Parts: sequence; C-alpha cells; structure tokens
Amino acid sequence: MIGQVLGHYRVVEKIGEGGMGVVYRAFDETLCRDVAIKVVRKTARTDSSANQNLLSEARASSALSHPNICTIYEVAETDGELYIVMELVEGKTLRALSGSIGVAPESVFRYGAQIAAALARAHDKGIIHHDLKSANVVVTSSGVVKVLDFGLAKRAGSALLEGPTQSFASAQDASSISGTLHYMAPEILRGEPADGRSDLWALGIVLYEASSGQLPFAGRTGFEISAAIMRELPKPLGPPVPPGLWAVIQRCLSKEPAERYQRATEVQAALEAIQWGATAPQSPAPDSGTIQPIVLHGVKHARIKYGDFVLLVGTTKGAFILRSNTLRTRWEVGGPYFHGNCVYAMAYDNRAGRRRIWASTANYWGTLLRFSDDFGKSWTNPLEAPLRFPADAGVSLKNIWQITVGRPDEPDVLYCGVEPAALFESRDAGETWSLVRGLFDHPHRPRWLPGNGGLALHTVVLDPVDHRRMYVAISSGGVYRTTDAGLTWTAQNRGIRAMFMPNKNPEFGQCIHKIAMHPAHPERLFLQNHWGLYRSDDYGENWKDIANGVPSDFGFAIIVHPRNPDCVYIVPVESDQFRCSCDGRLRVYRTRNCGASWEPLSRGLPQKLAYETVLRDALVADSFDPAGIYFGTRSGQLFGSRDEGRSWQKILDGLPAISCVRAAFVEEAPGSSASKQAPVATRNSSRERSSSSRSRSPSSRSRKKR
Amino acid sequence: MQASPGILADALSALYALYPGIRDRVTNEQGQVREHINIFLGDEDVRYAGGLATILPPNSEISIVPAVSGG
Repeated sequence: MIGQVLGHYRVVEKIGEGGMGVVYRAFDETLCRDVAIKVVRKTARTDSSANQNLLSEARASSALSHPNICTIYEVAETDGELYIVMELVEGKTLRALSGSIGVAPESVFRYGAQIAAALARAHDKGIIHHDLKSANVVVTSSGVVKVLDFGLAKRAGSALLEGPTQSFASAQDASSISGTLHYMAPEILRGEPADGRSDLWALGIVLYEASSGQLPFAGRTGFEISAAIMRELPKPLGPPVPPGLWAVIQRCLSKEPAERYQRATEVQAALEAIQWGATAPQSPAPDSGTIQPIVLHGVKHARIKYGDFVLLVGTTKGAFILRSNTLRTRWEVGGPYFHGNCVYAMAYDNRAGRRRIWASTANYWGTLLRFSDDFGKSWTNPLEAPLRFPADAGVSLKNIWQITVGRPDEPDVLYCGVEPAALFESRDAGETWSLVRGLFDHPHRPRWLPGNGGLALHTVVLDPVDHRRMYVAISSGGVYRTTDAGLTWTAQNRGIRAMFMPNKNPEFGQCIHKIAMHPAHPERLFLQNHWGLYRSDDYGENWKDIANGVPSDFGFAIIVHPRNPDCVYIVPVESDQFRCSCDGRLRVYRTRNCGASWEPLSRGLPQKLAYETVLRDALVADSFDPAGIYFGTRSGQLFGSRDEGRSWQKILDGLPAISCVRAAFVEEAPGSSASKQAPVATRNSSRERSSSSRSRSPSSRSRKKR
Repeated sequence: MQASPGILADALSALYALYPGIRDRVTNEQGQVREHINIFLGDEDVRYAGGLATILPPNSEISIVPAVSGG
C-alpha cells in the first residue's frame, strides 16, 4: 500500500489500525496537503449494498463541518478498494492520554465539552456517531479535540454485533472489537434503535475513562461486559474527580435513555458550568441515592420515649405527632412537620428493632417519601423522589396515598399505593422501590376511572399467612387480588355495586373506599364502598351486602377491632353529594356480628350542627385492651375513645384537614420481652376483655369510681 | 451562572449539575416540568415562548416559581 496512488492521493505511511481498516497518511497531489486515508477492510464489507450504505453515510458525514469533528473529504472506490479520505489529525487519542489513571479534571472538562459540541452538531444534522470511544477522540498538541469516524460504524458491517458472544484471544482482538462493546448503551444491546442518547451514553463512558483511566463496565468475555452494562452500576468516582463531574457522568450513564441528558448541548452546558462556575456544589452528595437528613427548625417536638403511645396525624398542610402514655388522657403535640405539604400517608415501622415513622409529603415540587428514626427531629430529604415511574410507564407520580408496612416476618418489605393507580414495593426497608408491573400492566387499567380524589390505589391488605396473597383497592377500579405474590392480579368485585355505571354489577370499575381484614381471619374482608357496605368470607370471591341498620351505606373509613374479628367500626357519611355526617350528627357505627346489625356510638361526639367527614385513612384502633379508637375529621378535629367506642373525647381541634391517623406503641428496646406483647397495662395478662378485674388498664380503673 | 447555554433546557441542565436535587423538584420522572411550576424568562412565562427550547439571550434571568394557585 505504501507508495501506492489511490485516485489523486499518494499513500505515504501507515499511522494506525482500527476495527474498520488501516489508516494511512497520504499526500493529496491536487490540493497539496496531507490527508488521512482509511482503507476499509474487505471483511468489514459484506456486499456491494453495504458499500453503498457506507458511501451514503460518509457523504452525509462529510457535510459536517465543525472544529471538533474530523472532516471527511471524500469516499471512493478504486480497484476494489474502498477508502475514506479525511482530515489528518495529529495528536494523541484520548485512550492513550488516559492511560490507567486518567487525565486531570480540568482536561476532562475541556475535552468533554468539545466532544459534546461535536455530537451536538452531528445530531443537529441527524447523524448519530454510533461508535464514540476514547480511541476515536484525538487531542491535538494545542488541546483541540477531534472526533473521528462519525456515522461510519453503523454501516461498516456486522462485526460490532458479534461482540457480546465473543471472547478475546488477544488484547489486539479486544481493542478492535470489544473496544466498541464497552461503549454500547443498554438499549443497543437490547436490539433497540440507537438515537442521540446512545451517543451520550458513550460520552459518559469516555468521560469516566478520561477521569479515571478505567472503563466503568468491564469483563473477560463479551457476555460479562454486556451483563455489566445492562445491570451494574459504575464504581463511583471520588476525589480528585469533582462531585459535579461525577454527577454529569452518572446522568450520561443512566440505563434509561429518558433519564439521561436528552441533548448533547445539555452535557456541554453542564460541563462548562462546572468548569467555570461553580465553586463546588453546596450539597455534598451528587448521586441520587444518597439521603441527606433534614432537620426541621422551629418545629415543636413531643418528647417521646419507650413506653409512650403515639398518634401520627397527617393533614393537608403537614404532619403532627402526638404523644401520650398508656393512659392516653393527656397529649403532647409535635409539629407541624413539613408544614405546607400534604401528608396523605403515614406509617410506623417497628419491625427489626426499628422505630421508624414514614410520611409522604406532597407539594408543587412533587411527592416525596420520607422517614424519621428519631420521632420527627430529623427526616430524610431525598434528592430524587424514591418512588418514580419508569420511563416506559408514560405516567408520573402524582401522590402517595398509602404506606403499608409488610408482614412481620418480612421486615424489609414495604408497599406504597399511589396515584395514578399503581403499587410500589420495596424489599430493602425502603431504600429502593419498584413498580409492581403485574398490576400496572393489567388489561383493565386503561378503563379505570378517577374517583373524586383522583385515580388512586389507596388500600393495600396483606394476607398474614399466605405470603403470595394480597389485595389492593382502587378508586375507581375495584378490588384486585394476587395469589402469586404480585405477578398476576384478578378483579374481585362480585356483588359490589357501582351505582354510577349503567351495569350496576360490573366485573371491575367500582369505587372502593376501603377494605379491612383481621389477621385471625384472612378469608374475611370488610369493605366500605361508594354506596355499600360488604363482607366477603371467601378471600374476595363473593361480597355480601351488610348495610343492616346504618343511616347511610356511604362512607370512607372502615376498621376491624384489633382482637375481635367480628367487630368493625365505620363512620357513615350521608351521601356522595353531601359528603358529611348524617343529620348533622357525628356518629361512629359498630357491628359486633360481622355486619348483621350495627349500633351507633356517639357519647361525647357532637350531635348538633356537626357536618363532618372522616376520610378513609383517618380512623384507627390501637392495640390496647380495651382498644382505643381514634379518628380525625376533615375539619381538623381529632377524637379518641379508650373504651372501644363507648365514649369519646376530643383530643385536638384546629388542625388542618386530617387525611390519615395512625397509632403506635413505642416499645422497649429490642430483645426485651415486653416489646413482644400487646400493650396491656399489667403486661402479664393478655387477652381477657372483662372489665371487672382490678388489674385492668389504668383508664378502666378510673372509671370504676362511678 | 457563568456559562453560555443556548436554550432553556441547557441552562436547566447546568443548574441541575450544580444542585442535583433541583432536577426532580422541577421536572417529573418523565422529564416534564411539573404542572404547577412556572418558569419565567425575564417577565415572560416560557409556556408561551418555546417551553424548554426557548432561546436565551445574553444575561437572561430565569425564574422558577410555583403557581399562585397554591393552597
């Protein structure tokens, strides 16, 4: 080849070799300038149509004129040889400069911004690079970056796609073929078409390599490398790599294209901003997983200790934490936490020795799931919402309606029900969450309609015995049950009316307000519907009307007594039009025979001009004996009963609208025997409900005075 | 900020790189600006200009403001 003449070019010397072919320096005898010529390897061409493709691709790329793009002058064929004539760039590849430790961060910024600028120009012209790698980036002696081989890789043959199944006999092989595999974006490995964002992934790899001298995804075989690309997270880069640069690299290396920068100009701007701007970012941890605690100043905290009883109250304008002792007569109020935020859901997790309060906080800036391990003094403050829909779901999180702590023997499992109706699961105590796709992809989903508050999955009920079975309730979609741990779900609404649909007993679409279950009878479920009170005795297969003697079968909240599985409490609401208590009387209703009959409980509750609403999560029982029952109203009043609902006291009023109430007993340190029992005052008697014994809880002792 | 972003999306990216927590507050997981968040270029709501592709003249002042419809 040396000394040969190709067209009007005289080949002078070989200067390199790549996946496509050998690169020579040549002299253009017509224009009297040095050029580079890549002679395309015959094996890289499959047939003449591939040649044609390469020609047309090169033609398009030759239209790219940019200081950071190696210009293509000509592509031609002579004597069966196909060759590409391009600008001769003299300098070192970024691969060579990076070595095994990388280059200085200032250089990474400079080179990265130029590569991004080159990509931006090409993408503007509709050209994807397809094969960006550090070997394709040359840095001249004056620090100017030239990116080589735009658009050519795609048409050069199928060698690239064999990468994943090959192993490498030699470093030579590895650099020529796997050199490309290391830079391949996950979507390309999945066989999806590449777009500009695949180039931005490759840019992320190049920046990582330039910063550290290492490739983020490596392996001994093509298979290992592909697996790492698809599934592993890159090892974080610490000093001297500035956190801002690491943040940019991480975002380029998001597995989901929708989570990367969407345009090369964004990467360029980000790199330039860090390079020039900014003094290091104030928040020290740029990666989205890190949780920085937030301490809320100026908030009154209740002093909570072991043996205390706590009520968690979520309102539309913040959360309150109320503390009392087992007497539950006097209350200390902490809060408002996250004032101004809607706290729709709260939960208390005391499994595995935790004393964790969960809360969802929502405002215009989005919905975040947070927890506190010190009763509200400090909370997590995630950089990114821990619950987020994947890009292909096509929806974004509007609200978290329910936080459900998992079964006691799966202490790291939690669930969240959200709007738009979906279920999220965590198996690592809430560090990470994933969408339960079996339900999200249910064919009924497109036909679920929003209820008055939105299309929400608001209730999660777990079968305590059969770990594969659980139920969710969706307004307005109905009850769905899984018996295979969430892989598949079936609508379970037989017998439940939908008054607002032409078919009053559809398979799904009912506006369920709440379902409740007692762990001693997992086959039995109680349900408060948008018009209707029901019970199922067969795991939701059939529902029976139990609205026997209630002033209205419209309502929201329903709970089962902690120890008596036949006993259920509701708060009837007059109608969907009025949405307030019947006749201006605030009454709780109770059945003690599974719904065969109901009785009002109103002693101590306002019975005149009391137009109140108790929302579906604002009614709760504690686990004392006798049981305490508590509810909060939309008018911001909190009521409690220490005698199973026979009499009520107002605990607090003047709160913002109450959306949820949860009760928790703060146990002794883990390992103590006291921590395992229900909080009965004497601690050695347990399940008797007779109230004549002297060793009953202090509250009944005080009642004995009459 | 001393950078030279061409369009709003670039300026936001630069901001997110400096303060990583902001991205998720301003946009949802699908990359859309949240419903009740307004972005102004000077006095003009970019909704009525080019949205995220609004071109930024030199020395632009960008404001990210939650909607007044609050509460």
